[in-house]
Amino acid sequence: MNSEEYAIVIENLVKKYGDLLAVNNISFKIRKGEIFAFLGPNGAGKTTTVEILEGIRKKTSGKAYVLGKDIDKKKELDSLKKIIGTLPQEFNTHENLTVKENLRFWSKMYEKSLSIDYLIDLVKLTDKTKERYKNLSGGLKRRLGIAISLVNDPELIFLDEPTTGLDPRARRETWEVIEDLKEQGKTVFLTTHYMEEAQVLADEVAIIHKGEIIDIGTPTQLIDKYGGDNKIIVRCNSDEVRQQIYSILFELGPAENEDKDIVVSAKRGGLSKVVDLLEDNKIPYTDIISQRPTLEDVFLSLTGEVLIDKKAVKTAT
Amino acid sequence: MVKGKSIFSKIRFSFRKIFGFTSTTALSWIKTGPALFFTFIYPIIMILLFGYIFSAGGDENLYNLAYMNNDTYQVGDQYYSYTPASILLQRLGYQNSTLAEELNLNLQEVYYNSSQTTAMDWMKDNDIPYLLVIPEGWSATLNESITNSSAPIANIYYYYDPSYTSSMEVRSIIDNVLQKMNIEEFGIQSFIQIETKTTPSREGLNYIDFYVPGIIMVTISTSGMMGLVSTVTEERKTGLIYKISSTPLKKWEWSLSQLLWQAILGIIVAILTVLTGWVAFGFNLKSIHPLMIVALIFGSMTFAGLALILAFFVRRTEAAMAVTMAFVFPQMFLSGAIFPAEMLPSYMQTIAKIFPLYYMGEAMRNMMLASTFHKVWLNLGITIAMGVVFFVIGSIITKWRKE
Repeated sequence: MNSEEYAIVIENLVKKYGDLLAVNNISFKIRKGEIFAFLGPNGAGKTTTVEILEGIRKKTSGKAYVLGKDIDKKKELDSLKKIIGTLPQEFNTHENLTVKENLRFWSKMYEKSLSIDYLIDLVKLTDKTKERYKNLSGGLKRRLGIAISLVNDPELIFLDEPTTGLDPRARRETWEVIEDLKEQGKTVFLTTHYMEEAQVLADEVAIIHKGEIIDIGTPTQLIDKYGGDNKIIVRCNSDEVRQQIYSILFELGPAENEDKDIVVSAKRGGLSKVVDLLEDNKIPYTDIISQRPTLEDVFLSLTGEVLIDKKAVKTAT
Repeated sequence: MVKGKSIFSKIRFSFRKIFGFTSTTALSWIKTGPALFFTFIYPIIMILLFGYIFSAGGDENLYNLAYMNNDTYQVGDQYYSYTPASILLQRLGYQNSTLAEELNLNLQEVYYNSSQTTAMDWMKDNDIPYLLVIPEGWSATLNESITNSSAPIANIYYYYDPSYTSSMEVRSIIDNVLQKMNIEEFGIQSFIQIETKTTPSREGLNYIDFYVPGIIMVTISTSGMMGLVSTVTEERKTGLIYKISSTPLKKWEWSLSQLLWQAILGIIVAILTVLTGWVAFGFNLKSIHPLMIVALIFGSMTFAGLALILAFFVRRTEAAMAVTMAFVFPQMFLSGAIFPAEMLPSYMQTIAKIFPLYYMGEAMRNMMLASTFHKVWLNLGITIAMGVVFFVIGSIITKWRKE
């Protein structure tokens, strides 16, 4: 194992809860300084894996090295806790203490800690320092959580679903903070079920489903590999025209009649063909869009399931 | 040399974490209005409420009043069996169970050889809380005082152990009976008087001096157990405990921080209770002994340990609180901290001894009196042993990691 190059190395990691196999023999490596996204639906085994790596959950079998430390060895795990930061999925801190008091508390748990004012600036909570934790909004709570995960100036930060339940604005603000971490050279292990989040932030994505890693790669690699062709979406105003478009575009390949849209899968460069066909036949369409596949399509292609319900996707975007 | 420095810095870091955790817990607690209010107000209400009850007296249980009748009534060679002493005993419920129940008394005739031992020593040796002695020749003295106004007043003697908080109530019952007898038999109030005696070292102490330690220990056990059980189960539910476990803070440091905070709270509660007892009921501040701090610390340790054990077995906060109440309340009433254990039936008195609070209350009370100080070491020893055992078990079994 090359501990210089990799922040995390996992070999055949297994976690069972009785008969339930939560993590099924997974192996992967995470390079130092990158944002690694663990993408999968709820119950896929993301949090279980993260908690094992953080040393707060016991594994059933396999090996895991975090920043070169073997998490099975108590001494190494103890020294690991000094150099990692964690933001749990269900993050909570002392609710009656203010932002500043909470940061002061967590900083006392470490031998060396960053300046509290610096952390407050970093997560843009300057005007909330005297606000009690319980009075903060969901987004501000998460930002405080991120600041707390950074008090010891960690080399590696685990962020478990850092934007779940946040409104779009708060989500984007959190993304900015995470991007700042990357600029500082930190390694970030991010779990999420928002494909857009993984696509925007991650250098590398592992898709996990039912405890198994289906594939790992950069978002582009995964999309190219599994996302399929670009989608061309044609919109029009009447059912009659829609039927005409459907019949004409069928020549380019299978077309889908989705609500008011006709969706056709075409190889790159297919857009001009579609436009030519519609123009030649004088079809009065209202709009035509070429859409690249997303990680959602990758997930659908790999598992046959949608990653997230449409309502949640709308919130995310 | 390097290793030595490393150990020193580890110890320093441990202290930093423990005090950091404790001070934050304190700050968080101070900012939680209801916790602050109830922890401070609880012992004050308890001491005022039960202080009043004790001064007012009264419950339905029978007090075992030991008596020794040395009186004989002789005129010439003739002995009389129907004497003023027998009238007094009948009025106290002798061979009259209905009257005895009305008076809450259960008379038990005893005998000790006054030429070989004193009443106080005999009581101490036999765990007798109160003893009524009718002296030899009492009826004759009484007869003389009726006919001759310059003759001495006929006294009976009431010996009591003030560590039994019911002793003053028993005295009050005897007083009432005597007054009634004076008026009904002789038409004058002061023919017979009661003379109370306690061991010399106990002079000047009253029921509140023995009630204060009980309240301190009850508050420590109640607020300590309920507070820690709810903290642990809530922090487990919210995940805070697991976030804490992902830091360099070790489980033993976390446990010790919890204990430290419980001990600090215990000391605050003790000070408050003592001050309230002093202001409202004249608690004797001289009866405070330095060893009480040991009982407080190990008492806090016992209940912190028990809280951790309960929180291990019962996961949900609501259920854990219900189980804690099921332990705390019987302990409060059965351990002799609030109601004298000697009022309980004998089998209940045996049950009382399974509760840690019993030994802590006893240890604290033993410390207050020179005459009972010899009993301190056993009760304090049990308290220390329980503190260490429960706390170590509680700390070990506490789940610091998810399964």
